[in-house]
Amino acid sequence: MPEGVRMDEKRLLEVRDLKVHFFTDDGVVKAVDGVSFHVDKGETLAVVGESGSGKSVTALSIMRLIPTPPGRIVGGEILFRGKDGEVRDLARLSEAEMRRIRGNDIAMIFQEPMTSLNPVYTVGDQIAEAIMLHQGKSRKEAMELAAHMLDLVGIPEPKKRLANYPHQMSGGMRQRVMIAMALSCNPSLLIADEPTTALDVTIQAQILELMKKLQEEIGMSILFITHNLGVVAEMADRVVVMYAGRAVEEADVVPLFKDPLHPYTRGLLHSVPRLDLAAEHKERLEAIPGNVPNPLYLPSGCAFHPRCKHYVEGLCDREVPPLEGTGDGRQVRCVRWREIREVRA
Amino acid sequence: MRENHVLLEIQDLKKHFPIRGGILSRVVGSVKAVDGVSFAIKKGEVLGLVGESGSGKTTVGRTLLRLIEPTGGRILFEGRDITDLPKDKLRPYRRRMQIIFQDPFSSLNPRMTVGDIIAEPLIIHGLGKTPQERTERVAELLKLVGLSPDHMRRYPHEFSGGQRQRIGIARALAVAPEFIVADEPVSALDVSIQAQVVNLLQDLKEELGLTLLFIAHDLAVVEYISDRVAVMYLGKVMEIASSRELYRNPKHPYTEALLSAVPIPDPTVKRERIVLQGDIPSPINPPSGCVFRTRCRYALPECAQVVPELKEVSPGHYKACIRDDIL
Ligand SMILES: Nc1ncnc2c1ncn2[C@@H]1O[C@H](COP(=O)(O)OP(=O)(O)OP(=O)(O)O)[C@@H](O)[C@H]1O
Ligand SMILES: Nc1ncnc2c1ncn2[C@@H]1O[C@H](COP(=O)(O)OP(=O)(O)OP(=O)(O)O)[C@@H](O)[C@H]1O
Ligand code: SF4
Ligand code: SF4
Ligand SMILES: [Mg+2]
Ligand SMILES: [Mg+2]
Repeated sequence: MPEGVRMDEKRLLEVRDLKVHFFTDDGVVKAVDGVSFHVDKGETLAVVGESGSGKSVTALSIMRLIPTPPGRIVGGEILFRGKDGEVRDLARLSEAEMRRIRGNDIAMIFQEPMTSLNPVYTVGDQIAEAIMLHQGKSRKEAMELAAHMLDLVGIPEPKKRLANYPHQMSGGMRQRVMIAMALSCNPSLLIADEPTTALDVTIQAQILELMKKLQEEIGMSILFITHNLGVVAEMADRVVVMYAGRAVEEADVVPLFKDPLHPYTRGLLHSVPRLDLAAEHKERLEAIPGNVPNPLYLPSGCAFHPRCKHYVEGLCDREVPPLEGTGDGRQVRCVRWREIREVRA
Repeated sequence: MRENHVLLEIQDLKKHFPIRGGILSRVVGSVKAVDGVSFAIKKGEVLGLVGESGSGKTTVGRTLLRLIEPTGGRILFEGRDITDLPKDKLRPYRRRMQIIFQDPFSSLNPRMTVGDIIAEPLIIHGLGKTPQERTERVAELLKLVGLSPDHMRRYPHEFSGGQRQRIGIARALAVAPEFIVADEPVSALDVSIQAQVVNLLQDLKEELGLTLLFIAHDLAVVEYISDRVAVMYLGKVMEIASSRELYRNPKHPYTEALLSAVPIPDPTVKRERIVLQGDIPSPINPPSGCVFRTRCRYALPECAQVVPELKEVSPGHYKACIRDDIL
């Protein structure tokens, strides 16, 4: 580990040029290929993108949970400021050091809570186990804290519920248990990978409200992964848009929705049907033509070029456009962003 | 063609699935998946059917096509009661009513070429006598759904999710049906691809004069495509109205809450949200009276006593709620 890794005071996490590749029988899948972003203390960063764009692989890399083989972090840094104040590059930590970070400093919740809850133990045992492991509390104390956590996430009769097995709970309830478990050790970063995607909208609303409330109370930072732009608008302070393994745009949430710079971001925003627009303003949805590319055969240059209406042959398909600062605190990966913005203005 | 001609109607449709238990696997109870649903769909109309998971949407769709047999109620196609028609008599109706499934991955046979998949219903219904006629029809259908006739010889795994859903649509259209149940046809697709398929269905509806029952849990998608919308909860219809009315002026507390739960893709919009407490009760043991009462913020003691009827509150706008003093 290089001595004296530096990171801005407000930063909690800084991912720099991360590359994660999967070496499969069919070829190399560059699932994440040069992704950079940061998360400040107390903020919520949303990572949005379609299926296969590399959102989960990014999250799993931060937790160092990439299945190896076939996957490997082949480049980049993942700088993280621990509770002890020290900045470490998670990409280079030993498994033993990583175990101290996981659950303690960084916790993660997944789309389908059933895959991360153990079906043969009660939820009380599972939460208490996590608490005992990270905080060295006695079993009795851990159980009390577990009940307190269930109460905090809004599960009625928490003491009784400790004795339930995961299958005795509904999907929304299990997601609450996952959140309780994740927050039981006061992590400074919560990674939430599509935490509401499998849930009904009314239950999603409950979970989103809960996460916002808990963030206010506890003050942790959240890395929120989703493909739902409505959820992004509701939860995020800042947003990173991913396409085919790369970040293509980064901005604060309001400017991103108001004035998206990358043609893909614009396309996405226009293709979602919206409930809030009065019926007479509704035209046809503006679909993005074509398909999400096969990760084994990414288009040359800008990976979005076969679907982009601003594509210029010889300009867009030669080299991967760099992620450029726009001067107003935003970043965009498109060689034509200036012209496109001017035409619209 | 007559104006306001009803193509399909269901009356008090019920589907209860038996629950068996014990060593003799006797029937110990039932899941009231669909519990007295009535609606009519006019020719050329799209009726959207929304509701949370387990509310009974798929069961309604499958029962009205008689892919599963109803426990009670009637199904009328062009005014003719088809509820009890035996298989051979049902056959012509089977051709006229088709279904598009949610999952474009598992609903296509991986060992058949796309051409054979689309031609299969033609063979079943004896349309397209010669292989050449069938090939021509398949080519025409592929073009209709925005694919190319060259795709005929390829296999499903060679296509993306959106393309597979187009194949599923071509298969449903092969026998020139008048009525299609589209059961979550875009739910499994990526956001950018969803819009393509929604637009395609809208075009086909216009071009071919199709009548659709469009099932989805995404309220915004349903609003785009539907003329009228029915909202289901625990096997019952809570509200039906024109899409414009239902979204602008919901009259049932469940619709109100459902709409307010949908996150809006605009960070500057700040809304007062109604967060429903608790979960959907089990359809094995639904609450007495109004099934929504355990989560309803307007519930009164009377709501536990009577099952509210679906009644008209303004022309064409129906709700099943005993309170007229709210919303
Ligand atoms: N274990 C693995 N082996 C091979 N390829 C993998 C593996 N895990 C992920 N990938 C590939 O990496 C790419 C990125 O996957 P990732 O799961 O990060 O996508 P995602 O953005 O989270 O998508 P989704 O919205 O579907 O969850 C995909 O092309 C995927 O097929
Ligand atoms: N074959 C079956 N046997 C027993 N119960 C069933 C069967 N099919 C459906 N059910 C039950 O009937 C109820 C309604 O199911 P249905 O699939 O119609 O709901 P849905 O509204 O389509 O939900 P989703 O949005 O999840 O697709 C559920 O409680 C379900 O578990
Ligand atoms: S680089 Fe070219 S192809 Fe890529 S998004 Fe920009 S204009 Fe479109
Ligand atoms: S009948 Fe009562 S419980 Fe049911 S929706 Fe109306 S007010 Fe609510
Ligand atoms: Mg993922
Ligand atoms: Mg269904």
